[in-house]
Amino acid sequence: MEVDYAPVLIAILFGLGLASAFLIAAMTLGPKRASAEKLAPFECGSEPIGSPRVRFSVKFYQVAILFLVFDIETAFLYPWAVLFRQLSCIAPTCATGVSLFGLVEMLVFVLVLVTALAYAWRKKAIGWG
Amino acid sequence: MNALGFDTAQLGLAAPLCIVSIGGLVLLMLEAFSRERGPRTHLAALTLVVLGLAALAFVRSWSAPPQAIFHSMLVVDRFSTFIGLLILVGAGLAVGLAGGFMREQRFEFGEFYALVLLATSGMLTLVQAADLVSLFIGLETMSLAVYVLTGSWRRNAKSSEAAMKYFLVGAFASALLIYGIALVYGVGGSTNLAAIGALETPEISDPVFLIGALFIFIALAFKIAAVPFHMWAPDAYEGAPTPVTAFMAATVKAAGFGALLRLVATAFARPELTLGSNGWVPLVSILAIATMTLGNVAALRQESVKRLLAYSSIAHAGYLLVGVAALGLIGPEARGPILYYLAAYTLTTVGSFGIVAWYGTHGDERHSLDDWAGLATAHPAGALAMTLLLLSLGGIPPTAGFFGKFYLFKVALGSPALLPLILVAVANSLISVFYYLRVVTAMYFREELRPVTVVRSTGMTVTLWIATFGTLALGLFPGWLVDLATQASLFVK
Repeated sequence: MEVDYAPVLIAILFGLGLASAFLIAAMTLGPKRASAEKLAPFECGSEPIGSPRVRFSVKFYQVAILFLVFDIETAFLYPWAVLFRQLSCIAPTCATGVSLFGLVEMLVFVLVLVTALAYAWRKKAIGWG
Repeated sequence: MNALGFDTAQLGLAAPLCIVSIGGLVLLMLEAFSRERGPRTHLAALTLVVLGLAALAFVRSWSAPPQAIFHSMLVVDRFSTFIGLLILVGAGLAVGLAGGFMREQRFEFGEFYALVLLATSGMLTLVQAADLVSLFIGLETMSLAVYVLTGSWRRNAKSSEAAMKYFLVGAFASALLIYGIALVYGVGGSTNLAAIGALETPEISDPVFLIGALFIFIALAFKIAAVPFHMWAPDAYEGAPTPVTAFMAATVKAAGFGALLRLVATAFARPELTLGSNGWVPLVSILAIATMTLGNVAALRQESVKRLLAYSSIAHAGYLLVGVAALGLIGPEARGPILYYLAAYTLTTVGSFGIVAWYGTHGDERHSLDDWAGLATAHPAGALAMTLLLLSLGGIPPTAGFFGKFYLFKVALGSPALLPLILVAVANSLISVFYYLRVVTAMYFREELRPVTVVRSTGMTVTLWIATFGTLALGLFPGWLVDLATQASLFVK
């Protein structure tokens, strides 16, 4: 039972190892020429210190929601692809016949998401203009 | 089994749900690919056709034996068919109101109809759910569409505020629901309602299981706006465009009660499950008393008719909870009156909010009680319809609301333990008559302060007549619906 989770542990250790390797490498190998700008807290693309109540363009939300459509699609496609063989068999094994169940289910799902995409496209929600 | 992996005859049983979902997507595409920017009469007509087809499919499945379909994800039985038909009627009436209202208030958008259909598909999933997973999906589909509908009046700040509040509270409720489902699954090892219902000790005496069940129950209490989980309702109902309020108040509540009744009949039916020897009864009784009392007392002080009706709809959830408590002590025959009450409530609520939508013109919604003064002189028929609908909400004969309360309390009296609860409910009904009559006296016995203006729309007029006559007809001839409700109450899988 525990051995089933060994890949998870290996992945965690690998991730930790890789991240610390980069950090240690940067700390030891990198040249250090500090300036006021470099020592300031870093936040990508915006002033790090200021009021949190700034107004964001509604376009950001639009993109975030559109992203959700594709994100959910991939989140479901991965496990589906892993289990595709089982979903395509008439139980208990594939020797007794092939089923379209898995394919049709995913087709319906993707079709619904494509509808959402087509709607967003027609309403000019895609693009920044 | 065939090449598709399931019996295609199941598609026939799931036809109402399929018709409504596909209809919603088709309407969305029609709106996106058409250049029509004026009235979307064709979309409204198409929506009514889709709802009608789904209703026909429901009627066809009435005689089918109760059965679970799609790997026990959904269940088709007379109970879900009855509530499903109610939801379709509520949605149809809301669609009838919407065209005229949106034209008058100048925020026409075709997505309204697609969203109503998508919300309806979620509600149908919710009442047909045979698994906690399909229950959650149904609830989310319904809620997300209704949040958008609530905020759809984009130039109206109150509408956005209502949507925001509704969304935040609703998201919280959904989180509770999914947490509860996770806990129940963690203890019981299944999300199937029947499988959970078949669990024995030690699982069902596990406190984690109890907490899970409680979380699921609270999430549904949010959706039906039971006190103390009601605080979103007055603001959301008041801020939403009035036809959406009618839709929300009637159908979301019916769907929520459908899910609640199925849960207490299947997954959490064991008397030894929750607090005390009568299962959930003490808990639901307290909730019922709080909901009725707070709803009615708060409605007493309202100056806006729309907000008054919002509080009244909270109070009605309280009366319905009396029925749920009765279910625990009396058994399945207490389900009949709840179903009848829901039917009466749906027609009456859509009708009364419909008249609020009908009253007033562009930029001048007439919500305050003073604005209703003198309506009877200017529009005798409208005032008469509103009076009838308010009498029905108050439970006065010869309306559907009266018979619904009478039937509910009569069946509940079968258990002496429920007597205090029924007395509270009757006292509450008396309180409620007072504020309903405030609107009636304003309409009939006060001089108008400003000239009365109303929305001119055939769709709206027809819808209001249907709702009003329906309310009257159900009160005068309740027999056939009682028969159907009784049949529906006994066929729960």
